[in-house]
Amino acid sequence: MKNYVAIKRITTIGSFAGLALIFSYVEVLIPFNFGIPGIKLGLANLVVVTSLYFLNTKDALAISLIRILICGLLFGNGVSIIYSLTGGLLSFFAMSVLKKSRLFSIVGVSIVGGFVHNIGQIVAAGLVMDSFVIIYYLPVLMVVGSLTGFLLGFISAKVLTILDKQLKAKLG
Amino acid sequence: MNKNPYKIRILDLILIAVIIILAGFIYFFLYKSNENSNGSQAVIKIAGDEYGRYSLNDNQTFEVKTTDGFNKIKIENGSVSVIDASCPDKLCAKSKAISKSGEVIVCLPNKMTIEITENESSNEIDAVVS
Repeated sequence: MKNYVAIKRITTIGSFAGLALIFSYVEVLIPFNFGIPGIKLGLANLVVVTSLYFLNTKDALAISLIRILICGLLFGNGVSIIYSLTGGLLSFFAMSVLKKSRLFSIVGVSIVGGFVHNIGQIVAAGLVMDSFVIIYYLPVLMVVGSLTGFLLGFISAKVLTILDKQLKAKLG
Repeated sequence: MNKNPYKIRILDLILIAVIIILAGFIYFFLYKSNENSNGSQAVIKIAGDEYGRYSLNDNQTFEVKTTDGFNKIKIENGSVSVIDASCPDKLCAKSKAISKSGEVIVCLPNKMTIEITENESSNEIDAVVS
């Protein structure tokens, strides 16, 4: 019995992580570049936020970490893993805390996720470059992060609502 | 009422509004404190260390070489832009030219930043104790 649960968990996390990886790769094809470092759709967060609500916190964290590490190794350059890791971890921490508080809906949680992710990256970049002139980009990154978070949260909500219905239909 | 976490709530919309307003404040704070005036020199830093200062009045094109790569900088008509770089994404080259005090262009992979400042001698306090 225990083996069954473990296998199910591993394969589920693996599938989600793979999906997140593909999303990360595919978003390069969608032009979302304004010449500002750190501006991106963050499509992989769609998977992270969804798994945060569909699976549990630990599994979602595993998915996020796997995605960041493999993505960094495959497509990253030098310090990019540090930026991704900082933004990703802070963002995840903020989202899990907010989710537990039950104050916001999944959309709000995702908004904060995107917001913190971008701020985390910019702070990490400032520390690595030992220069905080990059704070000049903060307002744009805050707004774009929040808006992409809003969009992704909205999509997650739709997906989860459908999944919920399917689950209820199965069990019901 | 607060049951379904998949339905958007008023608090979410308030959250977005607050963030946008906050961003607006920070934006004005960053610009107002520089009086949004046309700067007079470009300060280029690599990994936090000053590489050089260049007057915006001297039209020139030059390369900033670092251990990891290079960035080609062009100063023309009182503004600075990056026309080529060794970094993979070339975000710096895609950035708009900057000319106003406080504006910056960065190349993260090369750890290079270009900032427009007012004309003054280096106000960095460098104390190297070895």
